[in-house]
Amino acid sequence: MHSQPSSICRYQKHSSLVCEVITAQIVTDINFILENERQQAIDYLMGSLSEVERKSYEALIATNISTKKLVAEISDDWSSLALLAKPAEPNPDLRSRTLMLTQEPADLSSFLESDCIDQLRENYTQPSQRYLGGDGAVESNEIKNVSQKDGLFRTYEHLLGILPLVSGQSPAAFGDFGALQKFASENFSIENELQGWTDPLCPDQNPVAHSLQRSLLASLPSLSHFLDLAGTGNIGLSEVRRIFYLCRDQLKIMRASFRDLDPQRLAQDELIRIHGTHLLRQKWTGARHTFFDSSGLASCGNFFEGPISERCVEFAEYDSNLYCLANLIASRSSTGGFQLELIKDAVPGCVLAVTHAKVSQNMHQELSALSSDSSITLPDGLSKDACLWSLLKGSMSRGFPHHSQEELSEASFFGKQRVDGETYLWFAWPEIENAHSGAVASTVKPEQ
Amino acid sequence: MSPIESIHWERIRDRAPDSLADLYDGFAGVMFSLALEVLGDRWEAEEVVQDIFAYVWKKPESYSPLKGKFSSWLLVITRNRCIDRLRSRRRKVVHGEPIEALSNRQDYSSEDGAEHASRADEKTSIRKAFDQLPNDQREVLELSYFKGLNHQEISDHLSLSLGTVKSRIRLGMDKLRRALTGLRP
Repeated sequence: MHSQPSSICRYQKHSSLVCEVITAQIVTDINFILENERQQAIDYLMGSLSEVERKSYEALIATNISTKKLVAEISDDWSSLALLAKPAEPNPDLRSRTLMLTQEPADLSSFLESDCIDQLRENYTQPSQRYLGGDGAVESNEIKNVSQKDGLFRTYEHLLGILPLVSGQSPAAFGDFGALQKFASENFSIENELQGWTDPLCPDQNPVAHSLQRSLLASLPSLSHFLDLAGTGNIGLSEVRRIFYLCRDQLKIMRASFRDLDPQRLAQDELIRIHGTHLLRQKWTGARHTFFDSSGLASCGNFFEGPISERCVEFAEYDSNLYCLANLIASRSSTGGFQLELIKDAVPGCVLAVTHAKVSQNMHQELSALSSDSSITLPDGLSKDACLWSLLKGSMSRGFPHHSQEELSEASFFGKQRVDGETYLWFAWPEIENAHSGAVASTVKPEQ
Repeated sequence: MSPIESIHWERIRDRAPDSLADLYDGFAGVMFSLALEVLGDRWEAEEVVQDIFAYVWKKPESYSPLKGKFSSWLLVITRNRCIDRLRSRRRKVVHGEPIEALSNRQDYSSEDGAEHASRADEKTSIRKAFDQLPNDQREVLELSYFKGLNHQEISDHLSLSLGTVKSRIRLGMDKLRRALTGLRP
């Protein structure tokens, strides 16, 4: 047998060793690449990639089948961790609120094509500087009536005490209403405070009167109703949730009305923080809303998705305006229900907030008679309603300071009209351009 | 995608009567449990769940079977939105961040669309698999999944290097995958 020269053997041995090393290196490299890909997919799903990396990775997912498959696979494992969460039952009314979402929103074409809205379209101009809320605030020492001033502080402190008892982490949010009931029944009655403050109310344009009326009439009547229920123990999770939202809104509205009421929290409210329309949809969908002796069930129809206000103080004012409209319409609905709509682009440059409901002709005429002119004698029981309308007018003046109230009314920046048996109340508000950047607000941990 | 899941999504997409109610009855419980676990706040958890159903109803096309299984996708967006909220709580006010920046993350997923019974089985298996992970891997997965901490935050919290955090997460995920393989079609 012919034997190979030792140099060839050495060469073969060497090359086989090289092959092994190269193969091992390739395997290592492939493993490294696979691990890297896997790591990147995990980072993506965990939200750990930077904005730039995320976008570039999503572009890769869109074009690369194997990356897409890998992400789906890891996502499968990742989401299975959800099953480790302690089982909890959602409040049954979450189901009904969720299913309201499947209802077809109202067809608003008749309203949007009406003369009033046409007039708004023709006359609407953006204010040179967008209003960020807070201009309606006064000092509490401007309140001449000492008992009114005391009542204001008492109410604010009382509500600060209520808020933690109804938060999403409170025992009441998990069905133990004991502490809430005790607090609501043992402490003072907001209903009594309301009686003391509101007699007599007149639709005054005085800023101090407006701040008081906004604190009294926007969300407080509904809140008072639910707190009375809490005091009797006759409540469930739905009512606790409603108290939470109303209480949080009421506190913000009060701070935005009286700048010395709680300066520390007001300073937080004045920071730039975007509020989206989803915050309004969350709290209004399926909400039972009351205004003194009447109530109505709210539903949300056409709601655009996007930003609606830039600071908490602006959101408080927007909220207050919506409460004013809801108070006026809920008490007059002939079906017991009313709808809220937030419409963008129907009038370029602004967002329309609309409430509407089936309302009888008589009731509509009653609404039409409302005026902020205190010289007009109002029918019995309408003074509060006139104040609500007057509050809206005041807010519109702040939002669009380059127009007089009369101009705003004539140009339908706000108004009331009847279309096809429905009464519509609305106000326009300057839109926020989507390009805006700033912090994002959530309803979540309210700044009390 | 399993047939049950496929039907859920197709019925939503086709606007079939009661399709949202059926989807809610099948998935709201687990979505809510997850949201409550992450957020610890009932009202916030309800808001997240309601928002997701609204999103699915309005934009059913945001899901595609190519992204994997429908139920996983629902759980991924539930978790993502909860984490966005957690981070928003921590962040409070930081200028310069675009609105909904985090929520714009696409949601890819896949999973078993099982209804309650098979989910209960899967849950038991996942618990078992999770409990069998080494403590250090379990800890980083919990901090990441339920507390929403990113790698750097976990690294700071546990005084570990970034690389160690990443590899513990990856190893933990790999072990879970192996343990759960038998459960999946």
